Amino acid sequence: MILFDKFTLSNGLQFFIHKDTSTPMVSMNIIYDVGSRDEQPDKTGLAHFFEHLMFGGSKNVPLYDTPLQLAGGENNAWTNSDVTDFYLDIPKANIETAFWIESDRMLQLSLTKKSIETQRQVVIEEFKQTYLNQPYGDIWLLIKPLSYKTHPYSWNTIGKDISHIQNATTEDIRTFYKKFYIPNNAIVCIAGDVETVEMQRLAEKWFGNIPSGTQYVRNLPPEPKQTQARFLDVTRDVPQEIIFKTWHIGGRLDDDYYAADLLSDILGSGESSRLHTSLVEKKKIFTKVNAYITGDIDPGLLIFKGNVSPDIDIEKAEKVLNEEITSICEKATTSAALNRVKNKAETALAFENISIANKAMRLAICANLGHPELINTIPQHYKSIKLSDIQTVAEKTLIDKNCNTLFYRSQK
Amino acid sequence: MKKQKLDRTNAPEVFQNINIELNEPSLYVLNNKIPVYYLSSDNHDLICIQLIFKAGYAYNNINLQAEMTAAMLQKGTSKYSAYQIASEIDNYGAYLDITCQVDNAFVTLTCLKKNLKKLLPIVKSMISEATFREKEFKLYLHRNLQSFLTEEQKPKAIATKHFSKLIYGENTPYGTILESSDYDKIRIDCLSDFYINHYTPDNCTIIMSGPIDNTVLELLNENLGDFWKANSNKKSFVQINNPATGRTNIKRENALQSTIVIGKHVMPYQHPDYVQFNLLNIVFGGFFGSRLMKNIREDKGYTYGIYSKVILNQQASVFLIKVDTATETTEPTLKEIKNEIEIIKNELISEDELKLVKNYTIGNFMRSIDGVYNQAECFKDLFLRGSGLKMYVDNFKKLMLISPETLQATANKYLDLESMLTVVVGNVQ
Repeated sequence: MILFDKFTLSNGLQFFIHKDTSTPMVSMNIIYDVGSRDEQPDKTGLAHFFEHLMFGGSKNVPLYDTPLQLAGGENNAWTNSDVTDFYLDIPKANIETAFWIESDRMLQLSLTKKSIETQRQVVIEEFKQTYLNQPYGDIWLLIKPLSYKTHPYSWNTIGKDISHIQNATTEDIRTFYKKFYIPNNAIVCIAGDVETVEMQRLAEKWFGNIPSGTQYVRNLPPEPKQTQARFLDVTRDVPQEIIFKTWHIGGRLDDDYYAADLLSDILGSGESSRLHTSLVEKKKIFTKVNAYITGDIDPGLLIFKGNVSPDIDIEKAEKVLNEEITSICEKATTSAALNRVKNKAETALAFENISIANKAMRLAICANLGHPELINTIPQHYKSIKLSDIQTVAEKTLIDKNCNTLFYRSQK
Repeated sequence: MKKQKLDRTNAPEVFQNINIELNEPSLYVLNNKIPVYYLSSDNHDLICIQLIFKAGYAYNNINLQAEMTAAMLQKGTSKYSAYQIASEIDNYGAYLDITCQVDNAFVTLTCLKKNLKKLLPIVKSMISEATFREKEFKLYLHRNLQSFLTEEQKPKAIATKHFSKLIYGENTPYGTILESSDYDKIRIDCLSDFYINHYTPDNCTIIMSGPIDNTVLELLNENLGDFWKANSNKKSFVQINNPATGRTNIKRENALQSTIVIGKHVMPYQHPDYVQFNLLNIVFGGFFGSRLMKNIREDKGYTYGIYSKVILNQQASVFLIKVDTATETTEPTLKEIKNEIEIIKNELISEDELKLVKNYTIGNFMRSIDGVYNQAECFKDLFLRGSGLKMYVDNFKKLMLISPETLQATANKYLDLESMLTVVVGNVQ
């Protein structure tokens, strides 16, 4: 059980405090409720670009990293479609330094020309390194727009195109900061050997006088229900052919989220999974298969990825895969397989509760969903899933007209 | 009372705590003399057991021998089929991880304490009665070749491959390069030979962390303490001679970026200069606030990331600098690396910068020993270098006392670009 206290400052900034006395370090996690789904279609990649700019210095902390390193701290950040997350850990005696630097960049980020231009280059190099200069690097750049036609999940967090990063103006950037980097759009979680009273004192001192901003009201165009199968066929200079399939599932807070997650594990997580046993070991159609869900807040995807055996035609591989999927819809799983993935989920959660950084991050993510209690109730949700729930979600999800297929061929 | 306005220009006070003491792990010896080093804590439910065999690919007689032997451990034994192993591990929600590195092979089991009893017999069977059946082997080999072919196209892998070949020497255990043709040459009997000679109690060490009590230790002894095999055929290590220097370009048509690796051989962990050199590496390229990162990423924007590090293998230590950068900024990046080397050799580091790096190192040190799982991971690395947690703490304390002059002298002694090898993979001539 992860116990936590909660308080909210008058400017709307929420704090969650979890006490863990077993460690000399304290972790601070700040989640801003903005991700790439909140971008304009013609100005994508800004949320992630902005994450980089948050390290470019603020009015009283010209170099964000320097005071943190002086205090023995370490930090990093990530952005996805839904949120932007900043986290640090620091020896507990120096926790006030964390309050100082984090509050200063929430209050008055400098956004100098130098910082913008340098980080623009860094992000462009990141785009190239991750998506363009690697074999199979562009798969996600293809899959997202194939799967989503209306909802902003149709583009990747890095952006649709390098030109969007190149063309982002100082005005775009300043507007983004004012709109999203405000106390009433953020949540702070602190985990470590700390007292809530003391954290509240420091929170008031450093974050208390940051003015709140206009509350952002998210109003995203929902993805219309897919009505027919979609297909994309590309050829690249790669050694092995890959089949990628996506099916639409519900959102993070929908009733069948946990069943969809377990279904993906039953299908393709690990060597005892159904698709591995059948398609890799027995039929030898694929050399590797994998299935998982995206875990997005808005309705997400169940993903299948299979590396086609070199001596098998990609069309044939898909045919065998489709037959297997059909048989899964007829009888999705057994109670043994369901117990297996539940047990795995239990260990995975025990893993995640080891480090304070993970606990603070998970608490922040749950709190951002509006349900901080989820950090403790998630295991119950998984345990309560019945065979019939898996069957229902399989029948509803794994159907042709809900499916997007990518053939990633090799120009052999 | 009048409320005082907050002065944000005033940094909160920073405290240092370097009075850290750490005990070595406890030692328990199994009946077959396998030493078990363990770190116990009642705070968690997970037990992590790592079996380390001196069975890395440096011991290969033929390429792929060690790697395939390790991988085949879970592909069937006289008691369990591959599927049974995979599904039993999953049934109990456990994680089994087998990796083969250059010096050692690691079999790691992580599970809830309550399930340990059910899982240890499987581990025992894998290390003492694996069957190496032709059918599973062919299938696995075929699959692994596909991953290899993909991996081989990645710029990072190409750079590492050429760098290793040149820095360690082509026909040495560390410098031998895997080719796709090796997948045709490897035979199943090479694997069973390797298994008999290397997966033996006298070649094994166990490191364990989590809620360890006597029951756990006895369980371990019952399961892993009664297999006996002698390690008869140890291979001696071929020395590395005349590592390459100078620059090698590897042409990659249409590449958008170049991958650069620069490096040289340096001292082992026990060497008296290691502590200084380690600090020098941190200042130079070992963390986000390092000189390379500040100049080449944060000032010039040439890269998403640049770093340097010291790789401590058992028979060789190598210092290297690694970066990916756009084709057009390849030469400017090389020039800036050279400049940074000159600066660190010719100019004394300021007290402020040195203090910052030392303080950062304190945090890093505390992080590395935070909790028994981290301590076990840390101990593993130290143990494999013939050291332990005490020396780790001592070295940390020594590091705190290093002066700017010592750092500069160390730079002049070791950071000589002439003595280093440079490999550039990209669209370069």
